[in-house]
Amino acid sequence: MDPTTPSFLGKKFLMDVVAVQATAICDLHVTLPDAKHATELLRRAALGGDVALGGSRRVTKQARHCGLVCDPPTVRSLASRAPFPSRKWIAY
Amino acid sequence: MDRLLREAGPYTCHPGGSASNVLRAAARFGATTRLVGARGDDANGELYAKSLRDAGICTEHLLVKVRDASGAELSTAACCVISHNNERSMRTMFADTARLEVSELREDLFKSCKYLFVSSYACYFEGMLAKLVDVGTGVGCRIFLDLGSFEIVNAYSDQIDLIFGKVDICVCNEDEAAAFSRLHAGVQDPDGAYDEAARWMLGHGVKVAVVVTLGERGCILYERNGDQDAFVKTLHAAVDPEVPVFSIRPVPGMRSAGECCSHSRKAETSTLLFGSRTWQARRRSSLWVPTWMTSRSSGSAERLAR
Repeated sequence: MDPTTPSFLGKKFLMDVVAVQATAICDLHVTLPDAKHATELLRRAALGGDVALGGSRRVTKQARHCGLVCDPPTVRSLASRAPFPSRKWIAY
Repeated sequence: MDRLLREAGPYTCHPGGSASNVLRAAARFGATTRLVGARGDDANGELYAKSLRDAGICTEHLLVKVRDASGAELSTAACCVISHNNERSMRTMFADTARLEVSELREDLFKSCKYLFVSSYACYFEGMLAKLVDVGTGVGCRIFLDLGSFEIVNAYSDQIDLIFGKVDICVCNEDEAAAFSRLHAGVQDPDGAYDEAARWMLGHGVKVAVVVTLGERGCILYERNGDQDAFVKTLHAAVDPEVPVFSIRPVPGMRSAGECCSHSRKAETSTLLFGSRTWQARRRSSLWVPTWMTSRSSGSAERLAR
């Protein structure tokens, strides 16, 4: 349907946009000066059992550069299961 | 993690998720907006709801859930976003979080709404994505789909493919477009992946446009041109390469949004682009405002353009 057609424009709308977010999420934003600081924080959190670390190609590359092991199969396995069973935080 | 966060330095807490980002951006442009979802009865949930209300978003249908059917206590999901250089990604643990159930999706939640924004993250909840699209289109909403994550594309393409015929606008990032092309067209070459992803989506029913976001490089807009899979392709580059198109830092005001949609041929294509991953794009010389908003919200448009 052409969005400029009268049938669309002529409709009465009470709301412009409705969005669905099944689970409300609060983001805690931490911005660190470089990849090394970021991955070190993640590494320590991972050691504490709080974090499973994975990443996009860029993030993974950065993490590996900093000596942090990223195991893509493990991460993919985690990603394939929802909800995640045991970790409190999963940074990715 | 709490201790580590304290050691890391100052951090801020914001409502997360693409849905809330879309609504906050749209509200800044003067649109009337509503969020449908669920939260826990806790501090994070309160913060989430208050922030949305402060942004002018209707939270009447943001349900507060205390316990699940088994009596287990529910909470609001929290996601730790650790970043540098504006590169980040994240994942949230949903195990004990309050959530909207598929059975709670009713027509009256969406009736008389122009646009329904859905994310492919809904695939995490069985039947949610298809039900959302069905209910939304059933009451005349236009559907805006965010592919969400390349892992979602890889893991749930069977669910996503089924709804393209009802989607008006689809937005994805580079990784998602590449994953999509690998799955559907066997394309391994990144240079051709975005075109093929858009061609496949438009050929399988996306009605208006596909947007591939490119991070700091801007975005590519593929607008349908005719009945088949032909498209008009335009690249919308970042104005200032030193300033990332996307930043997780809160942007003071939304007046910088809109660059990526400022040259769209059709107003319809652009109406929601500012609300998703392009919402923090820097503007060019003037702010583009969707026509359907200026007719009712010219005051807001003028205020934003200053």
